[in-house]
Amino acid sequence: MLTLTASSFVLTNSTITDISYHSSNDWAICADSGNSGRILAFNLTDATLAASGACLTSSVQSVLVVAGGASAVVAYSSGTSVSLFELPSFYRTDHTTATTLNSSTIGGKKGAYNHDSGICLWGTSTSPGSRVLMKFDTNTRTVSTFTLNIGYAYVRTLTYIGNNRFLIGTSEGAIFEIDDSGTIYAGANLQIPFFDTGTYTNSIPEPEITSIIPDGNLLMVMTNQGSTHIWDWSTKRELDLIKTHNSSSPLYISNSASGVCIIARDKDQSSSGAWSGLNEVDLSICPFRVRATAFNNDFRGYAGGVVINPSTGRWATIMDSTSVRLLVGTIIPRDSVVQTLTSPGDVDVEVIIINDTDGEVSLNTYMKSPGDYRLPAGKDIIEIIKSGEGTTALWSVRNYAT
Amino acid sequence: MLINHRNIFVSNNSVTTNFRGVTADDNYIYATLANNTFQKYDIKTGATVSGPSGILIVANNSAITLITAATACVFSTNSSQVDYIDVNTGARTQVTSGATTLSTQLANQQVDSANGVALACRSTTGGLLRATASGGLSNMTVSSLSGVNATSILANSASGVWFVGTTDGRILTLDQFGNLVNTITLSKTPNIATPTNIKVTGLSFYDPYLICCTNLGNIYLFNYWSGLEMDRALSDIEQGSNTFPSMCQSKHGFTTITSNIYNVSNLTSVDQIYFGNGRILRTCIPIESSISMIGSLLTSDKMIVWNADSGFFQLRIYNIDQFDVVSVDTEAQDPPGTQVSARIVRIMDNGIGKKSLFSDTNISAGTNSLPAIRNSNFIELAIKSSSKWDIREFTG
Repeated sequence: MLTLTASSFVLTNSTITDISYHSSNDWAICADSGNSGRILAFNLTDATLAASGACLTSSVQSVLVVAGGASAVVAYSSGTSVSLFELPSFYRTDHTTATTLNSSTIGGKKGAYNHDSGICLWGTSTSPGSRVLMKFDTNTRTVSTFTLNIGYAYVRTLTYIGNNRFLIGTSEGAIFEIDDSGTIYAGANLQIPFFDTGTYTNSIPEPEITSIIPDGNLLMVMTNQGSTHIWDWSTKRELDLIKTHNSSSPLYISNSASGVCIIARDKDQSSSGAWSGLNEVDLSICPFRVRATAFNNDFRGYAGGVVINPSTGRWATIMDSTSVRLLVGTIIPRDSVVQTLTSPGDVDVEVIIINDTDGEVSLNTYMKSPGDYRLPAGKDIIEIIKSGEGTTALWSVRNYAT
Repeated sequence: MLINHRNIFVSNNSVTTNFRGVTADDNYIYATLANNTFQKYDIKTGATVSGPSGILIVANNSAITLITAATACVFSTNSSQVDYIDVNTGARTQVTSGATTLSTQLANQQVDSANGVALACRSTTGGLLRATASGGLSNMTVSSLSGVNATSILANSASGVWFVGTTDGRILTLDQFGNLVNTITLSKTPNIATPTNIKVTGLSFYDPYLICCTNLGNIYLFNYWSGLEMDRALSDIEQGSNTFPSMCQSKHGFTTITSNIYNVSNLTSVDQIYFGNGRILRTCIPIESSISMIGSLLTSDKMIVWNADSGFFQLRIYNIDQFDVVSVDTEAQDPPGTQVSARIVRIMDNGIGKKSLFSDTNISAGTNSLPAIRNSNFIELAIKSSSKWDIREFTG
């Protein structure tokens, strides 16, 4: 069950553009383009302000917590620098770059950090075909750029998935797996299709990828067309689709904490005083089922997104209205286990996981064997694997407890 | 898949004004338009039926229901008047005595009827507008609606009660005289203040399950008799104070959700919901962009949707697979030729990512008839023991 607390203070003249978490200090760290530009660290335990640091300019667009919490890196939409804050002193050094970030995107992360190599990456211009990523090496504190061969598109959002790989989402509806030198890995991409609307259509533009939330082999992907998708990344199969929002009133999706995400539904932005809900979902077990809903009111959006500290289960978002306030709370981490599923041969197989304790299908996907998937813990499981189709399909069934 | 919109589109009845209220029987669709006319369409072809079509009706009409097989009641948001329309001849009777206005125009499920009585969501708090087949109208005071509005109505003709959604997040069960039979209250916690405006805007019932949607973009599934919340899911709408998603009366555990809010160049969809097994199995059907879907109806082999936006005044009829409940035989053998008892698990297979546990039954030795849905795909697992199983696929 979600818990929810609103801060007692109001941030004046603040515009929160990004939010990250500091694991060991249990902080939410926010980028504030108001007040001449600053980053703010809030205690996730009680929504109090822990510390702050002045930025180089007010155009702060991204904040990433790096180096195991030793630093935070800030990138801007104007000027030619990246700032590195040493934590917890908030001592700042600025490092010259050749480019700036875009400031027009909403809903998704503009930067990502490779925990293994210490490399930060950001998308830059929103001009179609610009394709430029900015790179900051936290080890050498050097800034550079490189260009991706992704066609007439730009990088809209990106996320780190481990093993020195990032996923980038483009303005042309594609997702690519890359490393921090710009190599695009063969076969590691998918294209969100034009929506098939049958025989009578009003045109639907190609969707832009605005958020990518990974959990194991599964991805939650949000587009600017109001759709949110679940994909299996290993087989590039779409598992679910939901129309959840529109481009001017978007969803904000947190990072995954053992599969648990918080989806903040923006309220109708044309009026104040309406109620809204923060919904807890489990990306890997019955996605789009709502585990709990927390209600709040009288705001105009969740600026900067939502973030969960996976190590504590505490989360935060900024309630952006005429009075900017911080919302914090906790999730109860889902009790789950990662199960490696296998099948003979190098072919895509279908997996059906029945949670026999609760009487429901908790996972249904295509996978490449072996594949890691999160299953509910403490449950009796019936696992069905199907290889092939029709009368020649091969089946296997087994029971086990998680 | 219940709804497959490819190549099954039957008719697009474009008009030059908004569709407001739509209802249907097995043969015809009855609609009211913003130009104050009544229209009747052949449900199989979409053709306009001359005679009753085009007759003038009450201004600012907002909802229509068949109070009897031959009579439709049309309600208004601006005029304290209800029109009784003979759907065969077009004869119109205007009744003002006892009438009041309805609260919401571009919304569905504002009225429903059963056994010669219709109840409607009136514009004032504290009760409902009641109509009878003989032309009697009354403002019915409902104590449990004190200070709040009704936002959706669904008749359950089998038990003679009405389910009524409210602006404060409740589903009331009333008899035809407004007596309270049952109350289900949606969860409103945790919160930073108690929510005051959670509208239950859509309802569907398939005994024992009652499902609803709200203006905040959530779907709730209850066991009606115990009041226990069985499942909760996101719906295909953006939330907002003006959002009015709606459902339709269930057919064999299926319903649909549409939303009246849209954004230019953004996707518009209809959600197909199966909830007949106590879980929400949702399938998003992209329709197109930039339109608002006021409502939807399911018949035995048609889905009807209507929308109302500048340039897109349409009522559409879609063919869908017939989907009534059927019995499909099964048995277990061990060894082959020897019938034995077993556990039979049926999984409804609506495609990858869209599977739902349909039934879980212990059968005795011999041939057993178990329910399935006509034209739906199933995976059937027979379990004799943890090491003895068999599996098959079939279409109901």
